[in-house]
Amino acid sequence: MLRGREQEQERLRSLLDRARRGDGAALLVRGQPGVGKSALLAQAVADAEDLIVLRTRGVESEAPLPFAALHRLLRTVVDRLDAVPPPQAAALRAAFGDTSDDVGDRHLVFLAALNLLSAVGSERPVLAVVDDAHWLDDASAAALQFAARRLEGESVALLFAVREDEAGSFDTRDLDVLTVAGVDEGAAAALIADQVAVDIAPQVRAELLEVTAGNPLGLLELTRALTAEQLSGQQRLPDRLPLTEGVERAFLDRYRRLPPGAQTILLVAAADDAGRAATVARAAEALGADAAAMDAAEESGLVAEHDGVLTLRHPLVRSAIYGAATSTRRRQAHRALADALAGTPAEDRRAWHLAASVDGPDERVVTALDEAADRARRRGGHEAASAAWSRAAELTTDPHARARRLFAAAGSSLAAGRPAEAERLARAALVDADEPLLRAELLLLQGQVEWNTRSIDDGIRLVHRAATTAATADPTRARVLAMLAASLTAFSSPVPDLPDPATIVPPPAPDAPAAVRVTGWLLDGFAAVSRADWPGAAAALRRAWDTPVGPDAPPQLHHNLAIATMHLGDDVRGIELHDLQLLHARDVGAVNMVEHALSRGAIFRIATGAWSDAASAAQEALVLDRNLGLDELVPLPLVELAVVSALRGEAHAPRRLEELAAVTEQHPPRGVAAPLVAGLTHWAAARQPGLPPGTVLHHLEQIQLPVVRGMAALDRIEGAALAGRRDLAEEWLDELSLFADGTGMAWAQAAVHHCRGVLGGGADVEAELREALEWHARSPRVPARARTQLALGEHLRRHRRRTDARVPLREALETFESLGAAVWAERARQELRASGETARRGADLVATELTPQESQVAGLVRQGLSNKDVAARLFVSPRTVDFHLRNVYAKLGITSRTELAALASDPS
Amino acid sequence: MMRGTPRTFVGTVVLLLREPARENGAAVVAEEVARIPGVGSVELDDAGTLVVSATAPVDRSDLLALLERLGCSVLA
Repeated sequence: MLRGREQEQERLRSLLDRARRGDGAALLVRGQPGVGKSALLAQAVADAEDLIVLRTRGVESEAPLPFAALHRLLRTVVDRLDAVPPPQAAALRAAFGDTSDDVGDRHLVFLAALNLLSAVGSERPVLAVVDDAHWLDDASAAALQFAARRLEGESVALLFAVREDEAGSFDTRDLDVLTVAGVDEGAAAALIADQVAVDIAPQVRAELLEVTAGNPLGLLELTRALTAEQLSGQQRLPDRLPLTEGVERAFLDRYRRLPPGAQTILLVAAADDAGRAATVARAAEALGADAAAMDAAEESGLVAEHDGVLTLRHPLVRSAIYGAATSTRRRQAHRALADALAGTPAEDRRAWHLAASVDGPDERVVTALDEAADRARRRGGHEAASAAWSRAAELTTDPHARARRLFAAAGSSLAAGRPAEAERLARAALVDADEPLLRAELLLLQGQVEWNTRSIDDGIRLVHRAATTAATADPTRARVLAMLAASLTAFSSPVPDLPDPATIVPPPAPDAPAAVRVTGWLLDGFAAVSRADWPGAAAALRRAWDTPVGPDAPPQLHHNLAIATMHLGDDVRGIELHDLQLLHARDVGAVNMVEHALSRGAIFRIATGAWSDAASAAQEALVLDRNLGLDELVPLPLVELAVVSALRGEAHAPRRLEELAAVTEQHPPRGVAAPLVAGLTHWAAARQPGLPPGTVLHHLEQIQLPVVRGMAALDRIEGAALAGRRDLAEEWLDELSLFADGTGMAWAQAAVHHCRGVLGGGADVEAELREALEWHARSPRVPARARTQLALGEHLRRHRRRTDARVPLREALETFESLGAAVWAERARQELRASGETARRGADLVATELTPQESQVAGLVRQGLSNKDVAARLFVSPRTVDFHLRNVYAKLGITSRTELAALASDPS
Repeated sequence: MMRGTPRTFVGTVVLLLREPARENGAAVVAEEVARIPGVGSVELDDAGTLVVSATAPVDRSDLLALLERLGCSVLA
């Protein structure tokens, strides 16, 4: 029984009850070593007879083995994987090494683990217990933390134990914590009494209580370490040590009293705490320990064997013994373990023992580590891959090979979401890297870290240097890098003192392969955008788009071909290319690319008035960001929703903007998304209802990015005029006119004529507006067209041409209604009434209060997807889909998917 | 790997120190690290980034122990 743990046990029982109720949660038990965390976990397991109990623990020596601890947790239930969406199930199998497939995006593994727990929980509630979480391998830790934050509505309880002094990479923020302190005096006295048969002097008991602060392991071990004379107070007590050291010292004293063979066994067991008894015995035997030694080791109570597994009395036994050994003895132990593992499937483990056994460079060890790194990478264990490659580099004599390994390590750290570590590894690699191409790739990686986490300008400088570095050795690659620098510059602003990236490499030969020529044109196009040389930009970009490139062209090329459409506002092409990207990303399960394609594609849809599609794509991106914890990506889809809401004039538009402000304060947008988010935020702010013209203009003036200026052209120029700033309106109109003439984009020409008409000032208003409409007929930007129709109608009505006015007004009203742009529709309706037409009441839009997740689920179910397909698409569990769907039914007053599909309008 | 697992290295290791070395501190740290047998060159910048290049095998624990003695805690 547990002494003095009533409150703690109550917390654990209530955690189990939550799993039983389908209201799952995670709990972190935290405390000093020896305070009794494992005992509490064992008690929870004993109380969970009616639950399915899954167990694992973090093992310090397993840090470089990706998903080792997660595998142990789930191995008894992997047969339920068919309840998990297939791409996720395949990723989990690959992560566990059951297949040699590439995991691809490891978020799929995380989801698979969560959904597997969820599926098992739907049969019978689950208690998953993770002891020593501070020693979990990084990949398992990431997966379990992902699951721990998503147990709402699941019949799953997740229980972690973690050491107070050693959180490791286990992020304990925002988990419920149960802090375990020492037991009270009564319980402590009883624990001491359990240990010894003799009477203890009161001052000795008081001393033990004080030193241990009620830590049960401390009480047991320190009491045990005292002689009968010390206990009875006849001899003085040993010098005081801090508790943990004191307990370690007690263990060490016991260890040192053992015969050499038994010590060898314990040292070997301490060096490989995975606990395979046969491996430890084989290794110890090679170091001279015999069978009798094993008996002696077990008799000491420091280690026990059960079912072929060796378990040390406590992790402090391991740290005490391992810490006290000389480095030569440690190396010997690791070498013996490596030899004992030769020819077994534990190749990764063997590689790491080998690495610990050498005292200098060793090609054989390096090869083993390289292989381990490659396996880790395929399984989605990026941290482990990085660790193996950097360790391999540390044992490599050839500087060139060393730099290559450090580069591989840096790439894996980046993939693991550890940019600072990636940066340090790249820096170490640059010391040795002498090949210009390798140096260029390292600089690119540093640039990527820089622009995504710190300064976009410094990031551009690094990419610029990368291109310059590669220029002589490989002009083709250098051109791709220069194109990247130009693309980044086009989305921010030219960096002072930095030459035009287009001057780094000569233009490609006319007979160069298509991909090479396209890179050159893209480079010229982006560079021209930064100079506001619109004819140059349009010519170069169109050539790039019109030249087909194969799928094996560098990914940066395809990516930038798509993103370049934004600079000309080529919405049709932009939608087409981003939809292609989305299709491909979904195919390969590349979560980040799915997010990118959705959130970028939404921008063009905002411009063309495909607002439902834009909102739906932004919502999907948002749900994905939130589900996967991609917090830094949240601002873009959120501002897109705010813009759609503002353009529609929805009642909750200001709320969207407030939500956005709160999010960007916590997670400021980074990299190239930042100027886009800033521009769209000001546009949405300017379109809030009831603002004085001065405030509107204040927001419009802050839109910097030409892409957003183009999308907001009518608002900007009309807004300046309304605020009495005709000069500014003229200036902006001139800017737009230069763009329109330079690019020939129909939407821009239409906007120019619209604004000339609206600004009046001697222009033939009707002729300008009619010309605008001719251009609009060739542009997909429907909302802008409706605004010109409205403006023309207003103009004609004011000039008493009521009948003529009705035609454009009716068209405008129809468009605004179909867009759901309530404020504009009302304006058109009033004009129509003023023109003498008894305008029908517009169909009232049913205001629904679906959450983003609910409308996302509703939208996909309306498209005919099954719950499992929706789950795979949104990266959630099928149970979560079911949960949201039931809320949707309740809110819409319907009871089935058929009714949902039959709804006339999109409920979102 | 466990704390204290033998880890000798050649080539370059980059560490991040908590206390960006102040005034004379940086020079002293760099000088002391350079004295470890096998260390070829040492750089320490204001941000606390320590770049150690070893031309012959150096035990990482020797490096860490020295830094601890000099009062620099290693962040990463």
